[in-house]
Amino acid sequence: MSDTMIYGCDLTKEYAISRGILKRKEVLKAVDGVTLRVNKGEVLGLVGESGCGKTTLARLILGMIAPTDGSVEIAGQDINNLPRLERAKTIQPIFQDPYSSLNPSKTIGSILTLPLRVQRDKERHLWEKRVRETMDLVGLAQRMYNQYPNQLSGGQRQRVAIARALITRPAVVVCDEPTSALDVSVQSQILNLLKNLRDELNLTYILISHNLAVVEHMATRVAVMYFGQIVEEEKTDILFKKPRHEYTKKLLGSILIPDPNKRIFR
Amino acid sequence: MDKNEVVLEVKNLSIDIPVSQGVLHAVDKVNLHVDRGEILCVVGESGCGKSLTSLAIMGLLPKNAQRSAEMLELKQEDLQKLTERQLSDIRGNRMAMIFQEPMTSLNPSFTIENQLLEPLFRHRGLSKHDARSLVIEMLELVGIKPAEPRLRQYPHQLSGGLRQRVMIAMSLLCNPDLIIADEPTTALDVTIQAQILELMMGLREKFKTGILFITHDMGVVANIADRVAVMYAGQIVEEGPVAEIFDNPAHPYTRGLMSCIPVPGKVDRDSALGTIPGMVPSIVNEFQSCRFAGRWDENYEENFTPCNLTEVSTEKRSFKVNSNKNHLVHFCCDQCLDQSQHTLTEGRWLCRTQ
Ligand SMILES: Nc1ncnc2c1ncn2[C@@H]1O[C@H](COP(=O)(O)OP(=O)(O)OP(=O)(O)O)[C@@H](O)[C@H]1O
Ligand SMILES: Nc1ncnc2c1ncn2[C@@H]1O[C@H](COP(=O)(O)OP(=O)(O)OP(=O)(O)O)[C@@H](O)[C@H]1O
Ligand SMILES: [Mg+2]
Ligand SMILES: [Mg+2]
Repeated sequence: MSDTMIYGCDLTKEYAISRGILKRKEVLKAVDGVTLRVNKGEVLGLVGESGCGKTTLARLILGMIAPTDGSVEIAGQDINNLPRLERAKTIQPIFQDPYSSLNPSKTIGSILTLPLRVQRDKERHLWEKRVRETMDLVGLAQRMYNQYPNQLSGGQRQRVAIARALITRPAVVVCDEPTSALDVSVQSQILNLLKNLRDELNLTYILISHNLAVVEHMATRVAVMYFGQIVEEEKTDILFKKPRHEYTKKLLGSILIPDPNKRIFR
Repeated sequence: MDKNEVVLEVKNLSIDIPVSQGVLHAVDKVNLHVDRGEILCVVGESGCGKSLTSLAIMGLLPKNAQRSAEMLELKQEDLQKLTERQLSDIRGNRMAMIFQEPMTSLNPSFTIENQLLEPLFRHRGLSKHDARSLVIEMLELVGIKPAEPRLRQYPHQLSGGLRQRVMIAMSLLCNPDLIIADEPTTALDVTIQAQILELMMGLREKFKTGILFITHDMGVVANIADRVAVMYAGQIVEEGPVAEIFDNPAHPYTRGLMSCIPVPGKVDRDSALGTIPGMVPSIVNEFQSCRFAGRWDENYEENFTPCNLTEVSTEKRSFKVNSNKNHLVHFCCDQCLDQSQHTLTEGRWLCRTQ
């Protein structure tokens, strides 16, 4: 199909973990034979137990780590044949752990300018303006332009990571827990922004999140991962109404309702 | 209340940080307390000073930050008088912190085993064998099963949620009197989150641990909190028993927060999610105008009934809500109070509703 933006075919990633000196290493299959397809304009929600391989799958799709087996195509091209610059223009990540993905020795302004610089954006005189506009969009105060990552709160750092991914308007954004450190109001602001961008620019997202209300609101389709495999994949409303896999049922049963009268713990 | 029942008592805590434009009053005269066996949830807008407050209690503020407090006591022991050495004997032992970002506090060059054994050697003087089996037991309690193979791994080899659970296990190892948990379950799926929360509720039941729990997840708050403190722009603007805060929010920020919680199963896919308009003000230098200026949404008032307020302190614009002595609200200025449409019984303002 011509409008397939992401096609991961039979992806497997193995890690060797040590069992102590002199013992043979054990193999851990972080991702185990996953095939997935995301079409242009779709939002694929990816949910699953902590440690089931979501971040690893995201890194495979981004071409940041090489699969043990399988292949990735982005907009019809094998990711290995896409030059780095081209790849960065097409697909951008928002990482789970903003602290380790932001260079501590660079100011927020220069962190956000870097993608424009790397892409040799022609309108150099507009760089600062674009950076400042993007900071507004994600709700970062302008005074933070000259600050360093360690001077920001957790949620502010997360918004820097979001701004950095969106500033060059990539066609595909892989979001790994994009709003987990944000309060509900800022979270809504960011999700509304992601949604508007999708409507306007027909962007494609993979959205990894533990927050099922967020997934329900954003995703068009949801894939449930369990021990490295995709065990269930369905249109969002169907999955939430009629979960089939045991783990999906357990997941939906553990949602905490924001109402003190409906506590699930004694 | 019996003094022995209070685990943590903080009075008039302020934190100032010099920034290029002047002084950032990141935390402004915060009062809070956590009792034995109590869970206090702190909620508030991103950047309002929650993490700095907890770092101040732990004595771990960044070097350029200045802390001042009228009172900062752990079980009636003045934390401000302690030397750095005495403090580090208490940290990880009598009070422990679960940090917002595990990578900032796990050492990337040591294995999980080394990092978890260290506090047990240091504070409990356990033998390697005993310490190791305690560590494995604790890791399995937080749902890392099997735990043994994880011991030899380094932090970067773990997933986000595994790292977070290693931190939780570490904080629980020495049975502290106080646990400060800064968004401890953000990287966990809901099934493991439920397991961890249940574990923490069990610990406070069994050991009467006091827990200060910072979170953005109102589902978590509703399920575990005894009391809730709501922070906005460096101040605690409202506090009270959890049911009170959900049912009768009095401060405009709390009301805004309540109206933008996405409720699972109830979010309309095509409509935009609710937000609080505008942005938190920058609290750099002396702050004159209203902290909530430009953030009002007429709808808040439609969706909430006005409360009856009784003045507690004129100077601080603090009020008791609906005569409940445990439910307090604090306004930054008269304008905020005015716009909230509450009724005032005693105090210097006139009764507004006719
Ligand atoms: N560099 C590595 N070396 C060894 N094992 C690794 C490495 N990276 C990941 N793993 C392992 O692979 C598994 C999957 O990790 P991954 O980060 O993909 O999980 P995840 O689904 O993103 O979990 P979470 O929701 O907790 O972030 C985990 O067991 C993890 O420990
Ligand atoms: N070292 C620092 N230098 C300058 N400003 C700082 C520093 N650390 C924090 N700040 C600022 O102080 C304010 C409060 O930060 P804090 O980390 O306490 O927020 P928070 O309430 O924990 O937010 P979040 O929910 O996003 O984690 C923020 O505006 C932040 O930018
Ligand atoms: Mg992950
Ligand atoms: Mg914080």
